[in-house]
Amino acid sequence: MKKMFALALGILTAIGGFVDIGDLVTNAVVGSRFGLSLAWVVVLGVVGICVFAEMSGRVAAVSGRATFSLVRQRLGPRLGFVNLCGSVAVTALTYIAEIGGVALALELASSINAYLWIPVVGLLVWIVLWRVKFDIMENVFGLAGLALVVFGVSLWALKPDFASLATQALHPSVPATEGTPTYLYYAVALFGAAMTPYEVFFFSSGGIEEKWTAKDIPVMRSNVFVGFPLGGLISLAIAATSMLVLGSSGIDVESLGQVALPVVVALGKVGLIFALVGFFAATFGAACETGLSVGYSISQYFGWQWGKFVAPRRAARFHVVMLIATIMAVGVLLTTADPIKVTEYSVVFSAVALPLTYLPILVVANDTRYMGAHVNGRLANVLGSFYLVVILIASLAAIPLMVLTKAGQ
Amino acid sequence: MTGIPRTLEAKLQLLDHQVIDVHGEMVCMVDDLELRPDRRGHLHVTAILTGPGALGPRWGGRFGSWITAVWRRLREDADPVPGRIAWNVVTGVDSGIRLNCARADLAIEGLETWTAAHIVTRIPGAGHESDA
Amino acid sequence: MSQTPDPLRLSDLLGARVVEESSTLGTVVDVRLERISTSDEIVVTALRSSTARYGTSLGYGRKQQRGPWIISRLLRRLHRDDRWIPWTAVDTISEVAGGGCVVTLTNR
Repeated sequence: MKKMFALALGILTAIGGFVDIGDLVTNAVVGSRFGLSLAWVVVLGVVGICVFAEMSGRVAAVSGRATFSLVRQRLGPRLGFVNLCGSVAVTALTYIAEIGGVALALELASSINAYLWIPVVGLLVWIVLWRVKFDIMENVFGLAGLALVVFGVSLWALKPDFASLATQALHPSVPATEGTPTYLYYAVALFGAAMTPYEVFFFSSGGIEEKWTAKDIPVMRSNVFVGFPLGGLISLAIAATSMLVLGSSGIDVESLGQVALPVVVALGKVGLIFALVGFFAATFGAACETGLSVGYSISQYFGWQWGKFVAPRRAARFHVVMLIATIMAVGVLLTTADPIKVTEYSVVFSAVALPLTYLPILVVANDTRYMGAHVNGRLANVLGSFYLVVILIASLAAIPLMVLTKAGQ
Repeated sequence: MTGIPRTLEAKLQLLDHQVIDVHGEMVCMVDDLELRPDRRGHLHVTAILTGPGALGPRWGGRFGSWITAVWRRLREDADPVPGRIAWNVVTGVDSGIRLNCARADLAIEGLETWTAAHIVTRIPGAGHESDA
Repeated sequence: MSQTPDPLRLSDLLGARVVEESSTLGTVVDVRLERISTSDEIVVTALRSSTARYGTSLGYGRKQQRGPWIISRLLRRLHRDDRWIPWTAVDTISEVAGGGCVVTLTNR
């Protein structure tokens, strides 16, 4: 039982990172418009986040330093601050979107207007950040998020021609109805979402919350190598079911209800219940993850005490940052900002945050002063260097593509 | 106990590193170091400097002087000095800088004390670690 | 040897121009500190002068900092002309108008 729970951090991080509200909708949009022709990006992103999450987890376990502490240490205050601004912008925008997403999921389940739910959700998330023990948070939302496996079951129940799905995924091409810049824009957005920096902030800080040491590296690795691929598979299942059900009907995906439609078609009411539980758990889990990550990154940059492992009054600044972020998020949502549109702008900030986060992780993982025998091997370095190049290309391309395609319209 | 290495490179091993107290709690960042010459012309490291009063001047330029100016404004004393931790309480240098005293004993936590007193301790449950 | 009574800050030294016989060698990118005998007190024993301003804190000046190959090659190339100047070779440290310091070395 304990071993099973040990996997929860990876599953929560992965589900939170891969199938948060932005991804749920983006995957459904991508599925209905591009089919599986962008599946390769999801695979590329899954491997990339596995490489860097493993590195950041190993560094945290051996050196006791979480990711943003190392960003400041290796990049200095100025460049570290540039990263801090980009990272906090991405993470706070996602936080806003997740709180809105939880409210939308509750609206779907209860038929009570989402705007009435928003303050309630804000309060609930804050109570979890303030008071609920770290491992309980990750176990509950990690395991409940597994309800999203219902998209995999739906795919199977829809009895598609798996051979043609595989052909489509393995021979990607731009669909005739879409332009190449739009295709590339979605490729960059999907890749950026898969590698979003708060996943490593949360994962490495979570390791310190749970007091990992070098002995925990094997468990940490299984977390990474089970959790993230599972998140990726759920993403692909959402895209595939969306393609099968929505792509042929000409429906434009604009709401969370439409994301759930393929499950209803395939499995009826029971499927819908699972989908709603999954939506709620994934968005709520991601809200906790992003809310904490805002606190983690700012505190680590300035060297403040952070973490749920000490009483809030011993980490006062950390808790004040999260309180302000939560009040701001609820405030922004009550201005009727669309939570799904909000995440689209985070692509811009990711372009700054991604390279400046992953470079210091890769460098520190190669420092024998900190890592001793747990220093990077050849495979981690080859993959790490390769991904740094891919991240740089994606970062440089992100803003021109966004302008060119008016954010993928 | 890790101890202080015989030789150190200041920027690589001290600057922008996390300071940790005797109980393992996080104290601050090393924003700068204070160096004092002795009679024989040797420069001794006498203190870790931290907070906006240390980071502002180091940052330089318009943004740096703005940080310093805001920090001076918020301080009550006419000629404020930055947060200072004497070097003689440092006992170890590894991925962080370790001290032999508690963070509460260092007079450097203005913002932490203020937020704790005015905001955090007014919310129920501030005195306990997260639990079920 | 400098005899300024006021304390210096490390950041005054970092980025300071290193001048030898009125020609600039580079800027100070790091400062070596050494422990005095058995005490925990540490003093400056050398300055690292470089023609490249950035990248010192990534750590490639030390052999304990390994790969990855491409970053290691790039940074070690950038810092190939770095040299450690012993503290005894430093004549004066003076502030210049408009901020920043200049480290002048003794004539050999």
